[in-house]
Amino acid sequence: MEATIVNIMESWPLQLALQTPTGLEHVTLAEDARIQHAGASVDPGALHPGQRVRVLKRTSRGEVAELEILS
Amino acid sequence: MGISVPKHKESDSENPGTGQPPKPGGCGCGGTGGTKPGESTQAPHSAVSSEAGGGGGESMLGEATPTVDQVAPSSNGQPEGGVLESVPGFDPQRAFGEGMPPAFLTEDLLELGECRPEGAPAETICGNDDRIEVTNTTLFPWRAICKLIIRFPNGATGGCTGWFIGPKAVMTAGHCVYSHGNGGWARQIEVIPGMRGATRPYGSMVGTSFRSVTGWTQSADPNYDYGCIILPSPTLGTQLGYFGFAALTDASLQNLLVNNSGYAGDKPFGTQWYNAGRVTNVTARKIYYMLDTFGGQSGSPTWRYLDGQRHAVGVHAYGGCPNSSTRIVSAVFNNMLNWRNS
Repeated sequence: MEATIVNIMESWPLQLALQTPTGLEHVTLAEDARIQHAGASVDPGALHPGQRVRVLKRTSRGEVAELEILS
Repeated sequence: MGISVPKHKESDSENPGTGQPPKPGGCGCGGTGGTKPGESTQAPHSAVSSEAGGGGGESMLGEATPTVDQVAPSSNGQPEGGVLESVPGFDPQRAFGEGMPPAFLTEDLLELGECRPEGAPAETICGNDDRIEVTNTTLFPWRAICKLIIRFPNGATGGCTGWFIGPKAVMTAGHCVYSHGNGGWARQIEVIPGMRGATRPYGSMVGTSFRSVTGWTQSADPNYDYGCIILPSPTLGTQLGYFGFAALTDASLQNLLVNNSGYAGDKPFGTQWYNAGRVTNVTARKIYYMLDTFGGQSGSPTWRYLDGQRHAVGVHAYGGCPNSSTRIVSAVFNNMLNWRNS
């Protein structure tokens, strides 16, 4: 799923508000979520509102386990 | 008479969306009207509770930004003056210079550098990380700031920060008590005041009764992202003391030097970290600043320290440099008074 980060809520792990093709979705990053950007792993601190991202994998609880930053 | 429903309708974790007659509380400034006892209130501004029958009333007062400062006192405070907390090791120079009109910036302040150098992580650490660990968490106000360990309905565990606003009321962000991504109302939240690493100087208390507003619980509107934990006993808040809070005017907030402290997730578990800076922008519902914060600090107080009293002016909730707090406007202030008096 591709989406745009609308808001970053500073719980830990982070909660994100994502604008998807079907509407606004709230997700939580898994505590050990893997975030990629240009082939490299980055910290959650690299996320910011306005970025295009792709959710690659979720946990059984629906948390985002893998996320790719597209822009 | 039809009354539009503002989003500060109280929401609770056991009785979502049910309105009740307005409770007495601080008088908001501006606005008109209010619901009559027994009137149906599914107002997005209405406060709701996690408990059955605990829904609060709504007030039309306070949708407008304050025209005069509204202040609820802290539990202590002797007139002393001063605006920055005294935290050993914190360098106040950047904090003093943020957001100031160029005419006020001296060459020395300008040479301290941009708030966000190229390549710096943009999310929440705004430029150089000048957060300082609070090492003596048994002093006020640090002891009134709490690590929150949250269990959500989907089984996930999360961390936030909270702060006492009354003997049994712990203020935090809406998304800490009600998470749209984790199944709604938290199942329980462990409140650990003044936590320092593995040390819990005052023990902890588990809360299962929560408050927020329908603007957050039903509409997921970030402008209404605030909530409260009502503890089963007033013991801790009475012992530790609690913050005051204030709904300040735009003029009072702009460029205000504010303090923030909370339990950051990128630091050793259970350690509390302080930062300070100026308010750089104010909107109707939010306060923006370049203070350094990180995940885990959601819910932490953004406060003014003046004349010996601490008044929170916002509830930290969002990253993005600038980072931001949900602004305490009159409607928020009134809900907080009600929760304080629960």
